[in-house]
Amino acid sequence: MLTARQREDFETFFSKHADSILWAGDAAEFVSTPTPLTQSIVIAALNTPQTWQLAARLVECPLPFHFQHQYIHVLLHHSYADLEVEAEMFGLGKNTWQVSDAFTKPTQNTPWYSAMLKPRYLMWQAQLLQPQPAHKILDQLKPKAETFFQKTNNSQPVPMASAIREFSEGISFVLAIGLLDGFYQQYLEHSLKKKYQKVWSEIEAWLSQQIKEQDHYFQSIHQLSLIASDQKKVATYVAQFGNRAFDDYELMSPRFHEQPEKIKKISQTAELPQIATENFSHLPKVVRAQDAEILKLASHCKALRGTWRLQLLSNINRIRHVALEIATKHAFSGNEIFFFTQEEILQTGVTLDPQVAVQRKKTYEEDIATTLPPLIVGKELEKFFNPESTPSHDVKLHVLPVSTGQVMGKLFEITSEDQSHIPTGSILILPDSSARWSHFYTQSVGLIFRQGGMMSHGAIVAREYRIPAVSLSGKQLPFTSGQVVTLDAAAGAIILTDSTFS
Amino acid sequence: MSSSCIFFSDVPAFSKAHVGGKAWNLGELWHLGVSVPPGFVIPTSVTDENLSPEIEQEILTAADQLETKFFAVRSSATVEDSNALSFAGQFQTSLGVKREQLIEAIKNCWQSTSNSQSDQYLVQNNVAIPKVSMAVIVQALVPAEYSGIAFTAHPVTGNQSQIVVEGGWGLGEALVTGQITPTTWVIDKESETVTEKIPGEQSWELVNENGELKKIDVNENKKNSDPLSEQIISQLITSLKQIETRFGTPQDVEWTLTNNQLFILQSRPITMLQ
Repeated sequence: MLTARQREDFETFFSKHADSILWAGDAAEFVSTPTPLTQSIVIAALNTPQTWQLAARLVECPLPFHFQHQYIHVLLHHSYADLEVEAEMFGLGKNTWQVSDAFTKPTQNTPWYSAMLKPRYLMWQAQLLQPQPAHKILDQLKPKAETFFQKTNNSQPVPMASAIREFSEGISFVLAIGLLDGFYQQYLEHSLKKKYQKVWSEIEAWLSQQIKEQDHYFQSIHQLSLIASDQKKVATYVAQFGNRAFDDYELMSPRFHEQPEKIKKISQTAELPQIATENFSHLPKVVRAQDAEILKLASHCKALRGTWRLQLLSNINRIRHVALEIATKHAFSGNEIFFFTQEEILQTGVTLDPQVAVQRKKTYEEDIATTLPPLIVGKELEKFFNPESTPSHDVKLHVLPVSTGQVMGKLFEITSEDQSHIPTGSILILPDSSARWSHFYTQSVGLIFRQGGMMSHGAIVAREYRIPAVSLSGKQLPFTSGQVVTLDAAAGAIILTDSTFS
Repeated sequence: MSSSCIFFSDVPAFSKAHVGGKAWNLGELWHLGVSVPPGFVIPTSVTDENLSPEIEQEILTAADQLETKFFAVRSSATVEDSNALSFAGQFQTSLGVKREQLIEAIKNCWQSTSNSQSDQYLVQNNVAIPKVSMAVIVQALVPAEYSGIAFTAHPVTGNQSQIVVEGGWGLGEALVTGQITPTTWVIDKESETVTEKIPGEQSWELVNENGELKKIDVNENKKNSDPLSEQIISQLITSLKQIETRFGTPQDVEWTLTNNQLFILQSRPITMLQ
């Protein structure tokens, strides 16, 4: 199948960049929750054959081969997918967030974006399948944390920023934040309650001071926090009643918007916790029910991931500003944030060699300068293995733009309203742009209407759902179900995609 | 004025929750002085469950005042036509309804709140399902020769210095439901000049033939032409600008042309401007 030369190329590429960053999940969550960082690099290393295969399955990429080093590189500019999910979960509506089209608009440097449908899932997978080290790290760090709290308990309260800084010395600051807050919660239950409440209020005071100073960066955080005021309430609720997390059950199951029937059922039958009814009575019942469902799921994975790990996301949300402050004061410059590997932490305990950071920076710069190979999915992969078999044709059809965006997927023709199975990642071909097909929209990544203008009901709904769409305006479509095309709805083009390595 | 039928002229006295989004907007249009086919709205307080013979009679009496043979019966849900969500095409619309079919058409409209397609839309947009209540609009059906939609901003690029008009022969239903590809005019809002015209592709049109909606072939003379004279276009632009100013946001307007007279059928905010 794979020629020796191709295998070698792959292995060289991956091994060269393999010495990278492993706190994939943390990193992903860090950069992908609403954050002012616009240009962060995250490299997720998926280092078991199972994760690689799972990843391949998630992007519908049947991989019949194993590499010695199984790594996959994921570049995030803005994490569109995450924001979307967050917004969806908290009932903000997808469009509350001004999210970028980074994922659907390949740029010259990132032609593989559109193929990389669910990087978020890849990274989750990376962390989910490595549960053990988290506990070990916790065990190692616990004495240090206890000493730290003991010390602060006996002296004057320290400002949180410097507390975290001190604690983070030598370890990943993200890890430090997660741990510190985790321990903070524990200590709250004991003797430090009053004192640390004061510390937290210091953070808030510090933040609002920054906001007052009209600093552009903090201003944008402020706006985000306004948008997310409901989210904060949910976070408080979660902090009280469970830890927000996702287990592989959720990971593998359809997204909320992919299973409206289920959500509807939950919303109609769910016994909502009383607290949810009281605190979130203004939220639609659907959202409350979703939240209850998430909590239920979260409780499953406590054992899997370790308590502190689960709290990371909400912790990071709460103290991101402080984190960034620390990050910028670290050895690294600007907005570059690096994450250490579990192995590095395990090998050296909590004290990391500063050289690792230097090495990390070097790797980062190399990665930036590297042109990554395109990620090939589905049947296109066969062409890669047998490059001679299929000559490449650039077939392009000009059509009417209806809802902007760019996406790649497999064509799937809908002829009946009762169509039951639609493969994930499909670009649907629909007879017209009437609303009677709109219940299919959310099961697709893109839409091609055989008829209809840009103001028809279907066109409006496609734009509301932010699904790229075009109209053939009665023209013939020279492609058929099963073919992979790139739908460039912004430019009004359908391009038969031929992804061989160039 | 009966409480179960509120004529467009009286709509502003009621809340949006009472008359629904679409009817509320129609009330505004009526008072703005643009040409709206006469009609009334049956408010959300009237439902499938409390519909009595007395209310039915009130509806028929109000319908008689519209002095028309055929009606259009349309939804005006409380969630519809808001700034955030259009609910475009999610509920039942009946065109060419005769007096004796009116009550049935109204009932159908109520029932469309529970169809699975609109449920999906509600779930997708996190609108709690039981919260949708439906008012119903009864309006005189204009015997449309040519109909269309106009956006006071470009629907795809979001350019607010443009007006984009789509039009096609017959009732607008074929066009709004995306079954025909209309002729498109792109107009510069400030200079009011047509900067681009993209011919449509229309082989059939939808017409009302004695209460029955029929697809008939568009005759060859009409196929490559349209009745939008410079005067009509300028009239349309004037109305559109007026409407946009009144509502304060870019609007999605349905219009129709009969005997060279322009009617505005509805206006709602454009959702999802880039």
